[in-house]
Amino acid sequence: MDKKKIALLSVFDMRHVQVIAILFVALSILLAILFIELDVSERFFEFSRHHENWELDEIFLALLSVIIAFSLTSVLVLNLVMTRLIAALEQQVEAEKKLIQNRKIQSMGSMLGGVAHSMNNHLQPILTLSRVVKNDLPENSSLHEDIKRISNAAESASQILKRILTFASSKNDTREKKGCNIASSTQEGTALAVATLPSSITLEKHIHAHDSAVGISDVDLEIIILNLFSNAVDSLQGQVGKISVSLKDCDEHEIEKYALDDSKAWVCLSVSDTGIGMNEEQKVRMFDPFYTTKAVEKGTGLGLSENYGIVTQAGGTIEVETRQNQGTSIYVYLPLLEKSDQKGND
Amino acid sequence: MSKVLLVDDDEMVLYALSRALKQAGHEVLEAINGLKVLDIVSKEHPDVLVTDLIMPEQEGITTIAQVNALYPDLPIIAISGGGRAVDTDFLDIAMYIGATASLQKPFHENELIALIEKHTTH
Repeated sequence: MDKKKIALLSVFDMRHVQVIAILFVALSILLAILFIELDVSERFFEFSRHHENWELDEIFLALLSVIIAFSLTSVLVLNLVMTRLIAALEQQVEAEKKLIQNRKIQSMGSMLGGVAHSMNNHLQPILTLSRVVKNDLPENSSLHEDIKRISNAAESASQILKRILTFASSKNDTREKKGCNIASSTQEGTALAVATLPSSITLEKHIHAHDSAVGISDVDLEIIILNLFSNAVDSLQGQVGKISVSLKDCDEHEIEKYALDDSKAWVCLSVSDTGIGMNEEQKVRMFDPFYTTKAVEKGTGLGLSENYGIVTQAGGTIEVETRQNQGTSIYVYLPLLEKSDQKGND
Repeated sequence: MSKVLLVDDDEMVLYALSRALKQAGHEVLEAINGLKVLDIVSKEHPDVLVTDLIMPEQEGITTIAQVNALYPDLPIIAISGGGRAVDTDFLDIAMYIGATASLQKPFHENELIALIEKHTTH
């Protein structure tokens, strides 16, 4: 994030108002107790009878009204202050959680990047030699088939390592960005994802036309959408349900809520489902590489970590709303590219 | 057919790529690190240098810089298993300091052969 909003600053401003409000309420209560104890009303009326020309009863009632008004105002102000204080503290807690998660992901990224680098070196001779040997063998020989299987297995391993390196490179990439038109690429990615959607799932689309580019390639945007749809379908577990995909401009509230860089324009691509949702532990770990709630061989656990790598490289962020048995919504926030930053896809 | 100087600290990678290049009809000179590259280039006059980047004793980046300074017409192909120096990929650094092309491991040997044929003139 380019700019962090410090919630506590707003709390300090509110603290002065809070103190004044508390004083007013305390004073009102004290005065009320005093009036009752001293039977002030009776004494005041006695006094006013002796000084009828003063119209003191009306003055007293006016003063009393002012005090009551101040008290009510103080209570309202205090309520407002407490509400804002709680919201600010909640925002602070969320920001700290996100910071911890980002640091954890960066550490994992560094470690995995090192492992991937080492593994890539080991895969090179496996892939190259298997192909060299295969070229020297007759095509219909059994050894040719075996070597082909070795080569295919090594190729699969290579693809997994590429996805790990995508996650491991999740620091903001300062190189010239490849862009894609966000609306048209979202439409194409969604069309691909929908092609394999089971009939038990209905699709809702709210993709607003947007003639702007974001700093990821159309291939990477496709990967993001396919990964999100895959998780959404799995969360529905074969039951009847709905998946919604939406693309819209971010408003000021969202930019402030997620501490996005307000010098840029942002779009939000979201995929929501009515599936089983996640518990708190699953939510905290969802971006960890190889973390999956799916059965073995049903998922590598790399989809969301791959998405995280792609999105953060483009300067964006991913937010999640989920509750167990109430579905999940994943929001991908991406900054729009300036015209001068855009580079066409290869 | 080209004379290729292949530099990699991993003997298996060196062997595998050398086999593939020879199968494609190229002559291959091998070096296990970058320390002797200048010497080999001056004596053997290879048509192209293929070098790994992350190596002990002398980094491939240093080798590229040295060769490019003395033999600016020699095509250099950088290869690497991936990795980042701060915010920039090692392969990007190699291109910046004078490599002609780069490949990230694991690559298909045909990609390397195509690059060699593209950048050598026979």
